[in-house]
Amino acid sequence: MKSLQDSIRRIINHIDYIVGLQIRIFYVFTLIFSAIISYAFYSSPSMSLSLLPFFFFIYVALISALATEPVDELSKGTIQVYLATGLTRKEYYSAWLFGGVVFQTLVFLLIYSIPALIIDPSILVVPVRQYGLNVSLGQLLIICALQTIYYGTIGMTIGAFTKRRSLAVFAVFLLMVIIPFSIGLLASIFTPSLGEGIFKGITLICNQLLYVAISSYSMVGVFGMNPFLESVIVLVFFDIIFILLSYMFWREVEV
Amino acid sequence: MIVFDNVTKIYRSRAGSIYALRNASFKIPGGVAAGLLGPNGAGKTTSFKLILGFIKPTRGKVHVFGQDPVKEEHEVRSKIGYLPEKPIYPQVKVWSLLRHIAKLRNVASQDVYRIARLTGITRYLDFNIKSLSRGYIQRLGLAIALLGDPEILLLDEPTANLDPISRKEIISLIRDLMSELGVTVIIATHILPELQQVANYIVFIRKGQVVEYGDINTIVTRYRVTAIFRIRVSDPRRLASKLILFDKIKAVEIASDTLLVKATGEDVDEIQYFLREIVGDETKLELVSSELGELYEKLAGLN
Amino acid sequence: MMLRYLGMLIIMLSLVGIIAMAIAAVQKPELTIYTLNSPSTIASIASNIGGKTYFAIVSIDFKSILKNYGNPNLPYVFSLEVSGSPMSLNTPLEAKLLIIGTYMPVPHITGAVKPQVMNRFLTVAYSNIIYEVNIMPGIIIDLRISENKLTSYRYVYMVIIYVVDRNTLVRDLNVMPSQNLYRIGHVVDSALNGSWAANGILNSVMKNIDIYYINPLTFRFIGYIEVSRDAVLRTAAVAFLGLALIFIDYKRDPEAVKETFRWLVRRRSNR
Repeated sequence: MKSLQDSIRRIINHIDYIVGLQIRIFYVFTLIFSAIISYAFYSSPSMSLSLLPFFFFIYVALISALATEPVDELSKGTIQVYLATGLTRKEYYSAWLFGGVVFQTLVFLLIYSIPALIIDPSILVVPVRQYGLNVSLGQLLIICALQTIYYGTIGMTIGAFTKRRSLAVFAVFLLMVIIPFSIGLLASIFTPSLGEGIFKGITLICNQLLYVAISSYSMVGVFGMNPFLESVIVLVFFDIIFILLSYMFWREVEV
Repeated sequence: MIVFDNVTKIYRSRAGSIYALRNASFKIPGGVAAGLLGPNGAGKTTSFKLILGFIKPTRGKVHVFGQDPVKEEHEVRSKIGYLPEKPIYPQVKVWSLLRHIAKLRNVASQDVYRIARLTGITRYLDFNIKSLSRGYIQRLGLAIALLGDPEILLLDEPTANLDPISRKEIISLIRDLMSELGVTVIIATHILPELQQVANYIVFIRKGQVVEYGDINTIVTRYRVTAIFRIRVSDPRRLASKLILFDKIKAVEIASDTLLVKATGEDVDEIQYFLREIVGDETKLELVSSELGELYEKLAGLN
Repeated sequence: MMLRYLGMLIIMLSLVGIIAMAIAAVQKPELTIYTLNSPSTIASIASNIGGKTYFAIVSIDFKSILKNYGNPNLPYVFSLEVSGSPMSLNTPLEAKLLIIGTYMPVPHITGAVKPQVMNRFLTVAYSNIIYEVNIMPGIIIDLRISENKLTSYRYVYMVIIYVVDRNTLVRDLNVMPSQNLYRIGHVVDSALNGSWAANGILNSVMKNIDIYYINPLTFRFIGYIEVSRDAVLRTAAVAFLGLALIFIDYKRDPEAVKETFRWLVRRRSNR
């Protein structure tokens, strides 16, 4: 019991350290985005929703960069500095998972939730019904947050396997942008009606970005459950899979 | 305290397999200052990594404090201080890193100041690590290794990148730590004269194989390597004139209040007895080390 | 713990919220859309639903609205997708201004809108669902409608719905200068007493009202920023939450919290 408490203490201390190192960049982005959102809530609610995919993309990029930082520490040897103090590999991994991915995802959620809490909390629960969606902004944020964790852990896993950070970041980019974008393009080419709808200048990019942000939402609906619930279950499932995968590697990594 | 039992470590890569250690077996007891010697690529850093549990042995077993360092990561590493050969630190302030390490080691902030004073980096606590010179980075590494009062210190090239005065300071610091706190120190270095000042135990590795290990006196005797005694006396010149007459003494060097007496390894016991008789006070006599350079050459040349 | 970082961020975000509120409040005149002064193209109606007075204006003079509104991108425009199928608004916030484009005129009489039309407008506004839109053969499909697109329609109807107090002067709404001596209550009363249409609308609307959406509607006006006491209280609560998080962290590790704040106020040294 004592050793578990000690272990948790060390994890928390390392999370604290990691967050302290990286928080500045997140502060800057969060404050800027939140200011835009606050203003949008007052002046143009639909804009606040349209901006979600863009903010989501930037955060996933930031979080993937952060989640692959331990890979960088591994290849450079900085990890030895921490592990030599008695921090175990599992503790090191847990600290990065929580400090690098989960905590920053929480920060991402604040962009929308704090202005909404201040301006009008009902913004978060009222159905959005835009772009063919039928979820509330709050639900959409939960989906995005679960996806952020998913991409972050993918970055951690691939980085751990390859020991190359750039490859990990590329893998996230591939999964998040390139593949969905190409599928969307192909689909629009081969499905004339869809193509007609999609190929309208800037709307193409908007649709694609949004499609990616809500891709898990769009993909489900096959189990006959509430689509939101289904997408949450699917995302949580994949989050757990990738957390386990990256954990399996990190607990035995040679440094 | 540290036991390597038939340890083999193979690094596998696309280019092929490299044997970093091959059936290496040795022991390092507690309280010694051990020198880990061997040419470049002999497997010294790999041995350190195995002791720390950073890597797993391909075959064989490593025990530190009677525990497996890979399985009992925290228990083992929390009692070891490690100074890597080429440490790469995060780009934060010296203070932030030391304080974080102290937290991980469950050490109070006051200890950070104590260690910083000890290693001479107090002035630089507020500096970013990237702005430190290599010498000070080495001191920082030493400070990190010393935080939490470890029972074993693993120092990989501790005096590299240091100026002569700093080297002296570090060596005397290591000596103090050993004598005052009973810390077991294991040093991997190529700078033999310095190692000579502190080491009383050696492990010699060559091409991944342990050539020799044990108490320095025993090895010195076995290989007939010149032994060095240090005698603290008020009038070293007078004593030197006496000693020079003894035919088994090879050389006598006079420092301000000490006398260094060199003798062939096989005569160590006899000379030690003889010197004890002459000096009278046993506390003033010390078998410092031996000509490690000579020993190194002999061991490296073995087939 | 890392709670102080979260706490600091929450406090900073509440400050951002306050600033945004202030900016929006200052910008209020710019966003005013009450200046529809082309009586011939405006129809208005007031009704009393569930004790609240609703005042609606329907106009085909969209250009003056756009001009006054001053935003060619029309962020408030919402889409009606398919004729006859259920359709919703983005959020209740946007339920206040509807722009419906059509190639055919929606039947109306100057000064009063046909009850069926008004009924549907109100239904859209209050329940967020249109059940029948088949009176409009032309349907706007785009997510947003550009000004050019609007002009391609033969008629564009703009509906603005206010939720007002019975004692509010019509003049305060600044919609119909000629009626500025009337209180909304008068308009409602006359509408209810003098027109079968109003009763019909009322009944029909009440059937379709989703109680959930009524409350949020009460406080919101397009472009109208109400720095209500509630918003101030919520801001204070959020800031307090941030402080509480910092305090929890301070209890655990005072030195780290002090260090963090030192880091915030001190310039980065490049020594």
